[in-house]
Amino acid sequence: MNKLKRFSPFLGGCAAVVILALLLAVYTLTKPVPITGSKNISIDVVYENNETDHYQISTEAQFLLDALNAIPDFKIDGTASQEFGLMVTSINGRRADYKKDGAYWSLLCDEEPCSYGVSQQTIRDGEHYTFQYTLVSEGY
Amino acid sequence: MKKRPLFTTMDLVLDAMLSAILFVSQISLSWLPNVELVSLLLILYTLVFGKHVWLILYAFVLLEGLVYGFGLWWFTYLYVWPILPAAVFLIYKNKMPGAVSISLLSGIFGMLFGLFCSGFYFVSGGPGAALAWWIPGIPFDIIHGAGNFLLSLILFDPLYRLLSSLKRR
Repeated sequence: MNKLKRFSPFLGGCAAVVILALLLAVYTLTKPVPITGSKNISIDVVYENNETDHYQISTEAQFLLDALNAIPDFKIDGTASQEFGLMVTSINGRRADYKKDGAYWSLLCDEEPCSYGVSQQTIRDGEHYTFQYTLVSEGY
Repeated sequence: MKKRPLFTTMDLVLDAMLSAILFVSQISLSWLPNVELVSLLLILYTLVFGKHVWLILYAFVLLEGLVYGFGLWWFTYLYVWPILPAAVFLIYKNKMPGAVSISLLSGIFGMLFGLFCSGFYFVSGGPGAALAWWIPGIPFDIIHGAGNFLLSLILFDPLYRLLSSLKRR
């Protein structure tokens, strides 16, 4: 009877270490660097019924959330955690909660999906941000 | 001579049950970001139930779409999850599965999950869209890989014995 050999985990172990190292390198090298100084940015909030609020601000903030918190008539709420930042569930009192509404606030930078969440998204002069009410079935 | 059907009623019932277990395991751990038992169960199903894994897997993917909605992410599931059974078929064709090597396979799959998914965004939006989708998710992919590795290391042997003995009955 042919006895099956056991697969040596050595190669798998080496592959896992190499992949982990590559992932860490790619993530570290491409991490966005916050920009200091004054920046002019614009923000649109597109609600469920396609109603839109528009904001144009000048800010010294480096991250989007800090800039938004400085706008007096802009209210942003959600659940915050240290590792993931703020998970937005409500803007100006209008809710888009994944669990309750099957929808979420997607964040677009110059009409393209932003790479980071609102807490980690660095801002650049002239950039346009959109918070779009998005149904889970239509989203990314 | 009567030909044996591709799937008997017993096979279909069993596959439906295994698919339900897969789906329930996904829902029950969904509160933990990127910690899942789906990878380990798919490996076990492939080793124990062979080609049945395809039916089980696509029933699971369909259930995911029906419950969470058929968003763009759903289309990535059509080709990303099958990579794991395909890898198991390829690697363990003539080899005995061991807990450590299975855990490494599961861990590597977890770490590369985001990269595999970004292939869809590469086709639909170009390399920029794929990179923008993949890179911010790398910390989650690492959590995914570590979770897969640990869960497989702990659960592979007992679950493999359990499923093998259930199959023999």
